[in-house]
Amino acid sequence: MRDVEAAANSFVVCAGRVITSSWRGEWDIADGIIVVRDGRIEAVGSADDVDVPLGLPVYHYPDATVMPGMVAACSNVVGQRSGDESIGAGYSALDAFNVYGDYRGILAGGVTTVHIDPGWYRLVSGQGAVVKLGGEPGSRVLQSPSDMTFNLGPRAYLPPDIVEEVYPSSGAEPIEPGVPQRPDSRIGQYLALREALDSSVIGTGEFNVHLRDLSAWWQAGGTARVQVNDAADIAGAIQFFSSNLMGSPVSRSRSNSNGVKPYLVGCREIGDVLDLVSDANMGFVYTLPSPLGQPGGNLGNNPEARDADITVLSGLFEAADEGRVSLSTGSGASPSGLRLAAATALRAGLTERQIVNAITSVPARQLGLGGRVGTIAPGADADFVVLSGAPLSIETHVLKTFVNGVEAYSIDQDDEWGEALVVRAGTIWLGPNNWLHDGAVLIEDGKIVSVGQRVPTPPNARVIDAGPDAFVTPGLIDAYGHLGLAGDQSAIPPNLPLERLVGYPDVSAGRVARSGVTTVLTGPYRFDNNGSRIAAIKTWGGSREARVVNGTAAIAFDVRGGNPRSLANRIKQRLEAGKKYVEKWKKYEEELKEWEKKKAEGKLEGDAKPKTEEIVEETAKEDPITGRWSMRIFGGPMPNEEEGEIALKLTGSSIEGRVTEPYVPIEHKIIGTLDGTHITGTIEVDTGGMGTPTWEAELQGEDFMSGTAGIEGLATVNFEATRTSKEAVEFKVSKRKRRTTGKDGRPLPPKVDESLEPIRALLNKQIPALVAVSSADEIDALLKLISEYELGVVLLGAEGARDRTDLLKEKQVGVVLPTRVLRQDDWEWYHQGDDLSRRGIPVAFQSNAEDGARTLPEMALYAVSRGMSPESALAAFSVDAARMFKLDDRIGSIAPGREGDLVIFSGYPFEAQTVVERVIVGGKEIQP
Amino acid sequence: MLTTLMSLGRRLIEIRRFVVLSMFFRHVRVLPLLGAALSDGSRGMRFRVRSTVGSMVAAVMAVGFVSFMPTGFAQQPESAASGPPPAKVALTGGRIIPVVGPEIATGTIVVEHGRITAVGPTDEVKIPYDAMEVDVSGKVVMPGMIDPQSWRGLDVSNENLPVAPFLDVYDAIDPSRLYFEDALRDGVLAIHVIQADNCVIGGLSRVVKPIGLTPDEMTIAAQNGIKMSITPKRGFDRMRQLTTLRETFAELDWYLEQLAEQKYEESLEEKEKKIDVGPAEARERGKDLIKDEDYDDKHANLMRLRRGDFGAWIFCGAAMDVQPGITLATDEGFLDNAVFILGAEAHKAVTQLKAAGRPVLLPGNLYYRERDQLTGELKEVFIPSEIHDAGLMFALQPNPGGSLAEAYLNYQAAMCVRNGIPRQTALEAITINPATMMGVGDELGSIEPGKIANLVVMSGDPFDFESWVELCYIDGILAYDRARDYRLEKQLELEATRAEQAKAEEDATKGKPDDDDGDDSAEEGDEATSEGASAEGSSEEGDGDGDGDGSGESGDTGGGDQ
Repeated sequence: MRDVEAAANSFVVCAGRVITSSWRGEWDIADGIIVVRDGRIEAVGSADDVDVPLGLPVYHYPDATVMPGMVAACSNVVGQRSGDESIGAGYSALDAFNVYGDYRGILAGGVTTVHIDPGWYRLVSGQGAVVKLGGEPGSRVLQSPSDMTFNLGPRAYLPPDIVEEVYPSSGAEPIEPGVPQRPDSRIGQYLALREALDSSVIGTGEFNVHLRDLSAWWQAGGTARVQVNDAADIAGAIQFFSSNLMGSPVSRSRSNSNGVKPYLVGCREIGDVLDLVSDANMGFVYTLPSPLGQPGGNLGNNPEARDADITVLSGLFEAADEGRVSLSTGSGASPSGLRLAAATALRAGLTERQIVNAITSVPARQLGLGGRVGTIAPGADADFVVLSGAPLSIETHVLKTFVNGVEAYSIDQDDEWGEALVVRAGTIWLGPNNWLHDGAVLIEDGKIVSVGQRVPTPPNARVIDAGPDAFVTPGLIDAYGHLGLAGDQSAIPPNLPLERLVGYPDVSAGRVARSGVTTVLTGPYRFDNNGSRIAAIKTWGGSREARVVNGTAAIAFDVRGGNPRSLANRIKQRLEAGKKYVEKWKKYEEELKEWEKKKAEGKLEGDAKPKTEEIVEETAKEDPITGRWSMRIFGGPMPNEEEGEIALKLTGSSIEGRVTEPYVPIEHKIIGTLDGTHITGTIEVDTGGMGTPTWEAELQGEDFMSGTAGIEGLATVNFEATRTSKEAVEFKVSKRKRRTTGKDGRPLPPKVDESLEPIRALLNKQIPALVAVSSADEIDALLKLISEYELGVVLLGAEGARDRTDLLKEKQVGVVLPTRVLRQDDWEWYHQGDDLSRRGIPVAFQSNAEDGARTLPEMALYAVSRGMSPESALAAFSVDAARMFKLDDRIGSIAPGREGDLVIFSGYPFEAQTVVERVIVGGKEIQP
Repeated sequence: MLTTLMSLGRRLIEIRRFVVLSMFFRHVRVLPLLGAALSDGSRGMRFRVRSTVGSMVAAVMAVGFVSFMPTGFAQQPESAASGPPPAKVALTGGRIIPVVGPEIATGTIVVEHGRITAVGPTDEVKIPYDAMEVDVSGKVVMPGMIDPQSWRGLDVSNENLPVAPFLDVYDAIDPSRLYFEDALRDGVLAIHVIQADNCVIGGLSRVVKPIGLTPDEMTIAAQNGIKMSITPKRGFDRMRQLTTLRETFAELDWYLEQLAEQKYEESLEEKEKKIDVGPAEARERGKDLIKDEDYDDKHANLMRLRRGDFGAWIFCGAAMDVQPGITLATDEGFLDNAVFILGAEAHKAVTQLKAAGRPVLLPGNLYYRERDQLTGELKEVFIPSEIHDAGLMFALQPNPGGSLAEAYLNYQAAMCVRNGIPRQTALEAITINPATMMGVGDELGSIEPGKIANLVVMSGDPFDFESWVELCYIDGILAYDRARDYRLEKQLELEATRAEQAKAEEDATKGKPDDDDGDDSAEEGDEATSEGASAEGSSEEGDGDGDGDGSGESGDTGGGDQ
């Protein structure tokens, strides 16, 4: 899309299918292009035939069908007129049309143009008009008056008497009783028409605006819209209106040059008089019964009563040529249901083409607007509808409606709906040896809602019909990669939340995503001695929340190279520390449980008040610490030596202090404890989750100390300090209360230790440990330790796994295959994935790279070429990998409740010509 | 029934006698009270007692005075003011908002025989030696506000007949309507009384002042406009409404042709000749023979409308009514005299209104709120901004059905200023614009020499909601004085009592002390402040009285009262 100024109603539409409804030119175009300029269609054709002009915005609807805005030849947009006149030619339906109205309810059905008539209840109800339901108010009226509306049949019978208002009424001019009007019967309606026509031409000596307008219409040779339903009236109407004479002596003598052009509307019983139809030179608008959405009325025991029979349409379309019959909803029904009502005409054996024309180009021609609306052809108004599928499919919905090249309706305007996507494909891979043929998946708000042969299609759903060859798998999983690290090769300590690296997807994330890999277990290149976090992140998504599956999906250790037992011991140390931490939490949780139980029972009176303990601190008068210290900081990562001043104060054995020089805008408190000559303490400063800095020093003689300060695992600096003054510096009130329970006696949780949090999750069996191992010895040592603690574990690499297959199988330990998958054993080359999976050990693939993960799917091809079962290879990329990291309730399979991550292959994934066609992450397709 | 009428008649006679007498005291400040006496029975009774006493005293004086009166004075016809206006009045020292022309910080207005003769800074205007000076320093003087359309002065707001151009609101104005008294109190000194919107073509309207005992006395100008509605009348739909409108004018054309033919035939008959031409030619020849008195009642006013004798006030309740209204007015040739009265959403047709370039009257509710039918999102439009941005002249009307504040024209204008419309435009929208739209722009709506002296003296800026109307001059006569507004006084007293009662009830319900100490003390604090506020309120009333005394007229009126 070019960023060039273009008129808002000039653009290009590329659609999967374009139906033009055109009489000339192609009717149905696959991969069509429509060029719209200034609200009119400039060109239409297939992608090969039409040149896309430069500088216009391009809208892509690859899965959509675009058809002309529908034309309803009959509508309820304006109501009935209320005047009593049987001959009311002066009434105009346009008077009641609100050009400023909001008709999005009808535009949502794809109807852009409607005929409005003044009603079905009087012999001559008035003048009709043709209007658009969108666009600028000034441009909405297409034609007015478009025709004179006649109604034949029982509904027009017995009009009320006309009472003339006399003012002022008097004895000389009394209010007369009402004058009765015609018609009372079927025969009377023709009499009334002849009478009206005659007197309109001759005049009656009285002024009558309706006769005046009837006469003007007659003289001009206007169009007669005859609304009839009963067979007898249809026959009568054809006879009365088809001849120019109309049975009136006056009209016979003054026949006009143009002649009145009639068309019939309604035609429910036209099946009985089909023989008249073929000879009649007039159009027919068949109004469809609209049973959709409401139950039918009772017919009772009357054998004459019958339902409207849509199958008469086959006869009607045969009797009249195609271009003379259009379909419409009834006068009392909203035209918004036109497309669905018309679709039921398929039952009468009509073709898609006949039906689509009958609701687009045919009614447009009948209403005198052929070539302007109801067709997508050069020169026509850019009124068209973007549909989610085939135009006459029940599951298809209108996505957008354009009027004069301006979007007049869009499903997105409807806040009620979230995002929905339906993917249909020839094959959907639900799991190993579980293929769903001709299936569909519905994803709503990012989660799979329904999977099956048929799924619901909500009105707002985008539909991707991938075709019978397509093969859909769950999004692929990279079991160990580094996406997002951007080349940072350092070991990352366990307190660092890795998901903070994730933001809006960048170029490399996009590359990986488009390859079909939707989730990466991302971790540092090297693991910290105390363990490193592994985060499960999506390769695509609009926000961090959407992209992070689990910020801590595993804690990773490396026990390779060295004495396996001592290395395993290091893990053990961490586990022991973690155990204590877990105990603290357990204690708290138990206390909380107890407290909640008490609270529920109402036994809290004694404990209701918050408990505090008072810490009394005395200020010493002279001591080895209190005063100002001038200090020097050096070593560690500091490029240069820095100097500064701190002020300290000793109270009992605790030290409190501040940095006074250089001035630091953020206050940070130095806290410490004096134990003999040794000082340990912390510096209270917000480091953004990196941990609390600590310091340690030794008093050396009078007024001199030296020591270190730093953040564990990150950096350490050395410092020396000399006391320059013994004057105490007051900082704050030194008496304080510390809460030990919450406001209502609720126990307070222990302090969160970020570096032990992953261990806690591990010990609680929420996440596994990912341990890089290589030799069989290392595997032995590790598994021994692990079984001691009964933890979940995933082996990373595990080149020596072949020698411990029984052990691994017994413990059900998964293996993330090494990047070099081919191994040699006794001069025999084997593929480790093939080898392990065949022995029943779950495996997963790793990229050990950032955007290098984009070639990961190729590794599956290679594995299969080396003998691995294709089903195992797919499982290794999806369900097995997810299960190893305890994420199988969220990703790795296609089932209700899982994340909407899908890969659409053009065919069976393990064929050389197959490519990844589309990737969907969280229910949203990744834009190419 | 008869007795009621008779007693009313008696009361009227008594009151009228009293009015004539009080004219001697130059300043008629009792007129609103007369209205009160007529419309409110109980108050009337009390007043009658008082006026009877007054009339006895006054009668004695009158006998003496009449003998002194110059004959011309005594024989002046009973015009609108029911007597001679004070010859010359000068309002000095106030801030003057003339609407036309810049504001005058400290100015003087000289009124002679009901007309403004001079206006300008105090040091530039020469006050005639015999003028009565009224010191309004510290106050703001502006032209009387104008209600551009009201049917609240009518006994019934609509006639049932859809097309009734032969009616005149003159027959239906009820001078005793409390509405007129309220208008005076709010500084509205001219009211366009016109039929309401439930019609196709309504009757003729009239511009009146809110004082006077008969429609004649109240009239400023008659037959100013005719109401026409594009929005369907009750029981009609738009097709019928518009067809009826078209039919009316088409029938008029037909009638004119018939009349012309008839006149031609008559002219031949006079000459004892036989008809010598075809009907078409006869109609053509007869056209010029039609005289005004030949039109029948049904058609006369429609002819006058086409001729431009008065304005067409076209009600467009919805945006879709605007274009048909413009088309009708253009086709029938009265677009140049048309005023478009907009309903709630009619501003959406601002493009069409701009093209027509005619003044518009805005709905009482100045905000238009609409929910999006798909998203439920609420959109709000400030209507005057839309119209002002289109460069159209507009007038505001009060919204008595809305909030209390919206019933005041100056509040409506202040809302415009608050929403970014220039102050001058907002001022014009309640004064000179409605006057121009009614065709009396050269008589009313601004403080300029030559115009009718309809003046409002306010305690502060008209757009400050803490200001109120102190004095109203109509035709140069003091017609309203807040210090003497007994009904208002009683109303305020009543409201103060009600507030006290409400407070007492509230205290009673809250009698038991609350469990929480902290909350209780806070309530006590609130009470203390509310007491303070009510004390302030009463002192303000006291100030008002004081000002009245200071103006030096209260002595006279006080005498009249006794």
